[in-house]
Amino acid sequence: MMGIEQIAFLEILTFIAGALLLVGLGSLTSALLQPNLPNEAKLCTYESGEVPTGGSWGKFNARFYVIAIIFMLFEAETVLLFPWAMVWANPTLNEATEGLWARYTAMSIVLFIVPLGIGLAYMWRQGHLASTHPCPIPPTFASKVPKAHYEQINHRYASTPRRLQHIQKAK
Amino acid sequence: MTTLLFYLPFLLLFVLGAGYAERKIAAWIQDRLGPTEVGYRGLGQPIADLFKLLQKESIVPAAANKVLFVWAPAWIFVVVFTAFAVLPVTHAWRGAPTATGALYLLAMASLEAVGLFVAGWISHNKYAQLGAMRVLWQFLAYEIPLSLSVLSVMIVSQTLDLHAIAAQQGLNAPTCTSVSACWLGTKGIDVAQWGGILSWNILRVPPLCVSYILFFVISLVACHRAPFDLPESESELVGGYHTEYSGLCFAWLMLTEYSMLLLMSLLGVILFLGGGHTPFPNLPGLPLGSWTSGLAGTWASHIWSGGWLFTKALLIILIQMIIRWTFPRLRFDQVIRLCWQYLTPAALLLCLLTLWWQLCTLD
Repeated sequence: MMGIEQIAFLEILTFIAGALLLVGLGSLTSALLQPNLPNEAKLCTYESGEVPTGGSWGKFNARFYVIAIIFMLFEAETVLLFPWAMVWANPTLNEATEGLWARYTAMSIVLFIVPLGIGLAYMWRQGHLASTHPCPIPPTFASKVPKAHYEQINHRYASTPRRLQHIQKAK
Repeated sequence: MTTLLFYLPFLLLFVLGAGYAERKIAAWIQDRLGPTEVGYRGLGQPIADLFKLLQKESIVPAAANKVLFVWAPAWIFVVVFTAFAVLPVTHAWRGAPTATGALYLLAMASLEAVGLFVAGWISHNKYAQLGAMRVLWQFLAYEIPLSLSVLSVMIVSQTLDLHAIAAQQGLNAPTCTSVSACWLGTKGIDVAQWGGILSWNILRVPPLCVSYILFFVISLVACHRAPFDLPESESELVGGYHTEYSGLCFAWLMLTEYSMLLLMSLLGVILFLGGGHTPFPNLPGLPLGSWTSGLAGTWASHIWSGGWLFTKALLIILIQMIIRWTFPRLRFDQVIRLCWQYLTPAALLLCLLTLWWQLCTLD
């Protein structure tokens, strides 16, 4: 004997099976129709037509990590809000308490949401939600070495890049 | 009877039709002709594209993880398609009768982000990696306001069952004692007798009207549609997470993108725009609502309710397509700021406002 929830999830299982069937059929048709002629240039990683340099798993800016932490907090909050929304004005409980039930549940959730709102406002004020746009600060350090010296050194050691050498030779 | 029999063929037809519509709309907005060669006015173009994708070589880059590279698009398609299981087709032909419908749908839609991230990350390509990171950050940004805007409907409907939510918004809705059926909260005007657009959630409970606008914007973010298509922004990241994909694997990614579009607009229609109910109210002496609904249990009822549901959803998609080709893309930090600084507090406020409205009209 199966309950209604088990039947529902059996139906969901048929959807998974249907999707997998479509994926399988598509892959089979494609496998029969498509050529398979790999070569080194084809299997090379795409980098705008240039020869790829280095891997892709380099460093990336993780400046949004604060948002990830706030996200965890709010996601947990949402999980708590959904069950509350199911029962907050339950007709049976409401009638048994002559309307007090809905008022108390509403009050309790306001006490739950408002501190979260204050928390969000605090994060906003601290700049964690807005500072994601990089604003470079130019260094204010004043060097004792005059700038002309650097330019002299640059000029002395400046060599023509290899890819431009043949142009210079032609001249 | 399972709705799989409807949704699987419909989804394939929809993707073909939407692909054609998208290109024609883009052409119309940019003063071009769009596809014209294959068939009458280029109508055969999506079918030709389908066959082209089927016989293209699937290139798996040498640097990518072979297994995950091939399975990630399949995973994305399976989770998004499985989310359709709880959606109703007509009034009588409902989806999987689980009590957790809307929550299940949101959970499955969220799993898409995991697949997209894997697809981008495993490609071992610099553009794809940036796209994959953007998928995740965008996910962190839209998930909270999306759940909260759905929650504001749950406060009114008191159920997560999408079929029951749709049923509450029409003529002769099943009486749920704690849900107010008064139009704009005016006592004595019982919209369950009138039906039509008056009993849709957006008019029955006015805060939900604003909530729907929020939901619409967030659904654009969730579907990675312009102006929020940062994970695949072709002018900066080539193709974003699907830079390396070709052939059939690319076809799954495209199929999922359009499925997600249909999923989100259907969810919006069911939650806010009356599901399969007619927009025409029953006026005194002029029962427009009954004329455009059909008697319950008959074939006419099936056709009218299914017709209204999908007409509304397709109209929403049409609006989304026009938005895609007319609005410029946002910068990435602007998306995060929009979601966290404006949409999340607004969604929280709307939940409180809906709660207050329901409390006022409770007795």
